[in-house]
Amino acid sequence: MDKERYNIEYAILDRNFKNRFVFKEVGDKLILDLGLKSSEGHVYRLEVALPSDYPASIPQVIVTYPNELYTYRGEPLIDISPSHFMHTLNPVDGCVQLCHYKMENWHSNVTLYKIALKCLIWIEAYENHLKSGRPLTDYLGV
Amino acid sequence: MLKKETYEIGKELVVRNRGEITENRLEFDPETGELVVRRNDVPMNPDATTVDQIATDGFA
Repeated sequence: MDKERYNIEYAILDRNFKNRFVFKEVGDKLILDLGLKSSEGHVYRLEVALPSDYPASIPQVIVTYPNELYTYRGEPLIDISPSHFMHTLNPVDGCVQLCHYKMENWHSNVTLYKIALKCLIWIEAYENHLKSGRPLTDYLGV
Repeated sequence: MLKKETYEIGKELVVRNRGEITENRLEFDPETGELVVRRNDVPMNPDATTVDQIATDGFA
């Protein structure tokens, strides 16, 4: 990500997620570490790994906290991932990876802020799933 | 038992997913960092972001 894009991304995140995010470099990777809160009051920590050619390519998002997410039936979400019905991809480093933008909907104008909002929507759908048992596709589409 | 707000958000997501009309909008409130459901006739907080489009433009 070039400096100009970084400054734009930072400014938007700072306006909307003030004190809830940090960029960190891990090896040669740039990672956005983001804290999101559900309307139930639960905190989730996400890592958004930016590919070297971001924003041309889509970032990968994993949930690093809580360490384990479960389904309505009590099975670890990671054990059934990737899951179309739960909108998860292949696990990364032992963490659940979230689906956010479809490849065909991704373009370089999409910001990390929008990804954060998508993930917040995923979280709300997930917390509804925990009570209703309905798959996330009922909330987020197929 | 879900909090009322969480249930309302879930209900709104299902309605949008079905393509049905709703009298509400989903907003992100940067003050609280949370999603909220607001009636369309309630003026929007200038700092808030409507996430209706984001919620319906496709999850992978």
